[in-house]
Amino acid sequence: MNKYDFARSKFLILISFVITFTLLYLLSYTKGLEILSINGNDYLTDESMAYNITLKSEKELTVIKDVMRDMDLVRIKGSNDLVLYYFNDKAEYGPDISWLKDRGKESSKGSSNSSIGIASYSIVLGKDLYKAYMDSKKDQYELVLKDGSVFCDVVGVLESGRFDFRDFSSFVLVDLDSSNLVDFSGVYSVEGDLSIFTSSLKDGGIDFSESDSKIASLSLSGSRFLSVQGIFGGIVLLLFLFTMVLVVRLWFFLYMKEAGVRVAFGGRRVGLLFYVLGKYVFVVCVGILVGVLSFFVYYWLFLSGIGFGSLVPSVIVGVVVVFGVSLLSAFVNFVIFSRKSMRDILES
Amino acid sequence: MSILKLKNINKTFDTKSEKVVALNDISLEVEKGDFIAIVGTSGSGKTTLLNILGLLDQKTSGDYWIEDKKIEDLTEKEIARLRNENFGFILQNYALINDYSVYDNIKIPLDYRYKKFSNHKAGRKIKDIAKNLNIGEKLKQPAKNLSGGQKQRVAIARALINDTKIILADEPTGSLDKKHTEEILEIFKELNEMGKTIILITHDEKVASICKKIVHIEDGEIVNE
Repeated sequence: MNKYDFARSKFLILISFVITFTLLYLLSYTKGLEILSINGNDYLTDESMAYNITLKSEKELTVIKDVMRDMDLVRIKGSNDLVLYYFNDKAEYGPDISWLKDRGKESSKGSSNSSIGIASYSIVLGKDLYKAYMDSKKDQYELVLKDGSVFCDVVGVLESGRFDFRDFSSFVLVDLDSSNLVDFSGVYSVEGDLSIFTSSLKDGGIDFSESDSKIASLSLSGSRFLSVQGIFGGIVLLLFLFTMVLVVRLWFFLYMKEAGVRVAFGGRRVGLLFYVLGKYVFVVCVGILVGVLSFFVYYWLFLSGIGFGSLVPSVIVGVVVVFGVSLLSAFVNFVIFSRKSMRDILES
Repeated sequence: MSILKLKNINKTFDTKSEKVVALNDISLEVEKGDFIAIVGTSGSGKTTLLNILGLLDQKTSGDYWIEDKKIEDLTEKEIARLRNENFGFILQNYALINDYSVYDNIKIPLDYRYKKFSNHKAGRKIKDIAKNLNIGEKLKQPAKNLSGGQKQRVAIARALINDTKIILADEPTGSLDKKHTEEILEIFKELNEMGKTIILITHDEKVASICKKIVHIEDGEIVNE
């Protein structure tokens, strides 16, 4: 690969980069990590707890929680559910809060039934939440749902709540005690496909409206491509791949003339096929490499708590797809090259 | 002894609807030092004939000898070597790699001729030829920056760099103005006087008139030699 090849290959590198990046992004953004249950409450150390979260896909995740922090948000990737859950370093199994059941049902749209310990409980899903804030006049915290309804009674309840997380389904529990709203920073390591991040405080409350912009986990599982975004992404991806095939063909013809000239002055036609393929593969690999590196940098810069283990399958699939399409395109061009007359090639 | 010998050469192209006869029973002998113009109208088969002579295309039937070597007996690798050692091509559209420098364009045949040809020797040889063709100052420039006349000089330099015996030129002045045409033809004359065998394709009788021998071709057949 010399300077001339790079000069001619800039566009192909750019296309390979864009496709790789887009593909990895789409593959990484999966839907359907729905919680089936959360079990645990096992202390790992004096300052941490582990919760096993079983997803409907039957994957089991372990969330390591620093028990010194009292509140965190868990964003289940692609599910649009924000899960707020309560921790307390003094927590053991809490009191019976079964009386929350009816109140929760009345106040939250899209809620579902679950149980907390011995309690059967209606929950508020994160997707219904718009804002949590403290009403200083009433001296209490309120939840505002996206449909405009205010869900405030929970505040006082949760302030004194102690929960057993066993047998949870998707849920939202909010601790709006003022002392717990101070520090939401910090990222927690997660095994599996989940990551945890925390939301920043805004005007004394948590602004859920911004939470959708944060992506906390990666997974190849789920049904991303069945969602509306997934279908749109798929169409975009196909257009990219189609464009790439066209661009590669143009690029290949550029090299075909060089190959033709070399054949005229002593190169072998078969040998020249490999000559062109070598240059082609090199350039595509440069594009893929740049795409993969950019993808990693992008996630590390803008999203916290990404796990290497969950990235690797995405990267592998992305690279295989881009490289596969490239090779397929190269093969098509090979056939064209081998059938063209030297005159056509030299005059191209 | 003939340097090139064609006997009863036929060439047909298969299209979707029919078979097109490009060359029909062509026989031709080229002696060392010949300066031949192959003249014909567009589509008469003259370029096909040149491609077969230069081993860029394969005949459908007939016999072809280069000196004493019969082409049918050779492998693709041997044919590629024969092409490299015997022929220098000069084409109407120059067939230069536009992004390559003049130097690298001229060097291409050397890449296949000598596996261990030193850069120093190659550089000296390229500079000498470029200087003789008045493009010595352009060696570092990309080919795309040159004028038509300069590009054709680069193409000539590339055809000469391997000391090939035969130069095959397909409408070498077809893209040039009158002044540059005369300059290029003058170079051809000098090369022929130096002993190079030149076969030149043209539809321009004036260009053909500088050659020692003229072969007229029509509908794939030689009609007048």
